[in-house]
Amino acid sequence: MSIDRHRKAKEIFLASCELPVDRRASYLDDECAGDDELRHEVEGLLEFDQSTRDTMEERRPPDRIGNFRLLQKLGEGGMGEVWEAEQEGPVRRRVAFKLIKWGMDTKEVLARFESERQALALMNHPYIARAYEAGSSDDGRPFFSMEYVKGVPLTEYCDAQRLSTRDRLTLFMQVCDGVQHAHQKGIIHRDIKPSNILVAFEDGRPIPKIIDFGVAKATSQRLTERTLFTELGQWIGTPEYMSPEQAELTGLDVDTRSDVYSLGVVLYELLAGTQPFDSKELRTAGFDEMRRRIREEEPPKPSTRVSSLGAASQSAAERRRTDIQGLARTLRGDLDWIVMKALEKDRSRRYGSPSELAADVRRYLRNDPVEASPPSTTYRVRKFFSRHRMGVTASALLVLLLVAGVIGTTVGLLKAKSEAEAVRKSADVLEGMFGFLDPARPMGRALTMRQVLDLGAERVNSELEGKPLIQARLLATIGQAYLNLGHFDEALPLIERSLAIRSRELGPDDLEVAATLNTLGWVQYWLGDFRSSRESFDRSLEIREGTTSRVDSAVAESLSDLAFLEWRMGRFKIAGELFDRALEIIEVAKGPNHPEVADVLYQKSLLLNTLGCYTESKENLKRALEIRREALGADHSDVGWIIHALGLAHMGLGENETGRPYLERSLEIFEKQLGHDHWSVAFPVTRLAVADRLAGDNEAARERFERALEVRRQTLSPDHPDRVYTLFPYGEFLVAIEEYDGAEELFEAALRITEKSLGPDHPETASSNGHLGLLEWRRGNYEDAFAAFELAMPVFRERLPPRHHSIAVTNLLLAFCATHLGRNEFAVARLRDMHAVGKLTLEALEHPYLDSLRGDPDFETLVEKVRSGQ
Amino acid sequence: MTGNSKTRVMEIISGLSGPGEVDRTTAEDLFPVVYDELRRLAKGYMSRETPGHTLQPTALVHEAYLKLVDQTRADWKGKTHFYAVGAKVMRRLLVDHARERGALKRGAGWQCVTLSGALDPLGGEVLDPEQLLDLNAALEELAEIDEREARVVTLRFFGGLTVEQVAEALGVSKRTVENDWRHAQAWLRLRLSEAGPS
Repeated sequence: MSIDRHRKAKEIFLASCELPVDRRASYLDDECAGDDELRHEVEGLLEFDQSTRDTMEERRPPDRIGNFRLLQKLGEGGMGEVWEAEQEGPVRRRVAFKLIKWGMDTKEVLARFESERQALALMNHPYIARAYEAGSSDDGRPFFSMEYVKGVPLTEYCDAQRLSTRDRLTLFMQVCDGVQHAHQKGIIHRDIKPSNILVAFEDGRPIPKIIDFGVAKATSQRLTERTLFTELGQWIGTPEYMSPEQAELTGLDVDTRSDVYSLGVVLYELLAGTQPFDSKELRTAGFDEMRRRIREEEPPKPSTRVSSLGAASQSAAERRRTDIQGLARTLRGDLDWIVMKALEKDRSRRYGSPSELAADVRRYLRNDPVEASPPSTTYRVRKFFSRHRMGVTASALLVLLLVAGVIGTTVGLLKAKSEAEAVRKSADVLEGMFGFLDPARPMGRALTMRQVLDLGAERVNSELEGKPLIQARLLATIGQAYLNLGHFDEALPLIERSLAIRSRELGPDDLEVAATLNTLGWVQYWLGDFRSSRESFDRSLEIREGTTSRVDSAVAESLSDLAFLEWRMGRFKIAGELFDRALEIIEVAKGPNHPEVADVLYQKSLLLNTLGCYTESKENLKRALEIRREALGADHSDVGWIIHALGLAHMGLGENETGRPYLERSLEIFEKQLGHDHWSVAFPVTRLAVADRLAGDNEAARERFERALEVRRQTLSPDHPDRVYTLFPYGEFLVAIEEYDGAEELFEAALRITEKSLGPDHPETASSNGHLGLLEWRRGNYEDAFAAFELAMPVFRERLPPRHHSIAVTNLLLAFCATHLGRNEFAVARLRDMHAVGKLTLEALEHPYLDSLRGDPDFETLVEKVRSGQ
Repeated sequence: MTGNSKTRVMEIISGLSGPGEVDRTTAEDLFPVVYDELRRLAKGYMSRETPGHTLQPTALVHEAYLKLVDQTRADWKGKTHFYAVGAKVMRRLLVDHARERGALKRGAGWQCVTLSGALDPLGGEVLDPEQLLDLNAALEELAEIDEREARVVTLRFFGGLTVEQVAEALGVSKRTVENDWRHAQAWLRLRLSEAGPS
């Protein structure tokens, strides 16, 4: 049969399969009209298709096996299937009947099956499904029967009944009792999750029943002498509920505390309505990344999670008969700590057993003080680091340890299983060594940190030569710390070195390499080397997009950073597209209210402010502010940045006095969190100076401009473009108060910096020219002014949206100059340009500088048009 | 199993990343390694089991996977691709064996084979070597007029891949695999009934 005819027969066959049997003949009449051979083929196929269906039907287990009558299939896994069955003797009862799938009776499967049966037989507890009897079917397939639980999964039950948090906790304690019993019998469940905990009704009371001991493990190898097939390294359990030590996959080192962890996840879900790790993200992250997260990433506290989830939390709260605020309030404090203690990465810090966990829940319900609490050392050390914007990482702590000369202890720490474990261990050591790490006590801040870092960098370089990856990590950490403190020159060589080591050890396309490139990009940005920065961000994006274990949030971060840079380089259109892509990805990956969404929204608002889209910018910022406040608290410097940008947006809209409190608040946050001379304070100080000037307080304005200039001088390289953020407005101020020489100095400096660092085609370079033009115009040097504006204009037109403020102002100033130079026609043309984009006002037209145009018919037509609102 | 083969397989598997069809060159690289391991495993089975035992190729592929692949490093896709190659290898092994046996008439080794457990499309419980050769011939015929469909059958039949895994390995939709599979079952039965001696 030819390929064409085969294809045709296949098409007709498949279409026929979709039809009811009685309509097939007439369909074939139509499709195969006059082609008997084709019809014969299709009919043959349909006939055999039917016999295939029949065989599959036969493949079902017989209706009756031994004393059991099989009723309906409840579910099936890879190897076995579970049926609802009727036991007919010696007792008559409904049972769950588990048997190995047809053809799956390999030795490994048999061993696993047998171990589950034995595990069940050992246990006798009201909250565990009971095992009844075992045997094998006529075709040799082993089976066993167990208690039939007519119930629904735990979380489903709680939500359907809209159980309050208290009722959920009561049920949860019973689950703990059941797991505790299994542990006493020497059995670790290893796959505890809501779908394995069914809630049934007995005597009108809800009773949880733990089922599926299919991957359970005996603590003392009693169950079976054969190696469990699961121990050959097979992935056991369910990622969302899997303990860090299970994720290690060594298989040998899992004890009962692993179940305590899984119970912690179940509790988290019962309380917050969501799992600690985003399920979709976890599963799409790739195998190694998934395991790394389980082992290392600290999930947010349930109350934080509830506050950051928005609509999802709304319905979760409703299912708990409360609202988001109420739910967050209930969870904050004791319940947060109970859950987090169960979820400790280091099992020695978890509850020792399910009954200890249940006991703490009971204490909470009785309003007794609970055992779980924020571990004070970790808490204090964390505070210390968050005050210094270093981020809490084990590596940062390790640096301190290296500095303190406790290398011996440190090497032990380097072997710690996870980063989280290392944090805790180092926190313990630090407690003894650094008693001064009290967040309430002010300390030398940057100076102290700086000294610590200098020492740390030295030791990392000299003493970790043989451990390249650890060395690379510490170098990156110290580099990041320098970056955060604004010591960009010191950061650069460390990050570059870390990058070189990681590329060499891990290959050029590793995700760690991408992360290092990202840090490098920021260091380069702050050093004013935008071109290299762009290359680094670009390369990081390339790696993150190209990898098989793609992490959406990392891709979005790279896109957003790249967009930020494009914005800063004046390529606003590309920047806008990149921001939108980043936003789309991160919103899908993390949901609309995740802190990382706020990061992108904030960066994008900077672009919107530049483009003059202040209203849209405000919308974005308000959303970002809400998210970040919930996640970070009101005093975090990242919250300060959003408040600052909101102030800018208000000022952009001409609402200076509305903007002022925002600027003051952001300054307060920066000073408190980062110090009075940190580079960030220059931003709000500059804008406050502008507000002072607009309010007529020249004294205050000058003082603030001077302060901002000085901070930038101290913190930025001489050629860093961010300096123009102060140079422009300060110069404008000096022009306004007629200190022209002072203004000229500032604008010349701005031109030198922008030409050198940003190139001639950058809007800020054009702006430098524009400002010089403004100055010359005020001085009455109309020709010089005209030339400067003519230099600026093409760049503005190329890079800015047509209605942009800078274009309108430059057009008007060009018109003013042109009238002085006798070029009336040119002046009118500029005014027409303004009119074309709706930026020409009567106020501008009535300006005395345009008096020489009055009477000119073209000009008068234009005035008439504006007056009549055309 | 030597450490070297394991390293080799890992190298190849980690190269198998993109969705869609298993890259032919990498698949060819993997084939000999998997072939050696599977043949060794099959031989072990045959010498241990009583004569007349039914061989379960899928179980062998599974076992080979556990032996050859470092599961801490392979991802889900790597597993699917390994199974896809395993299916092809298994088909070759079984056919080779059936031919050899046909030539010798009697001998050691399996006398029946259960193809992919519950997935067996032919309705029979087990196949003897001759039926297997008939099936192989029919599959070769199918491959000439509908290559993809023949591949679907090989993967399901000899590798025990699920519909999702086949879709992943071939880079087509689940729906396409389901259609191919349904048609292939009917088509094979039809051909075998026409060709068979019975």
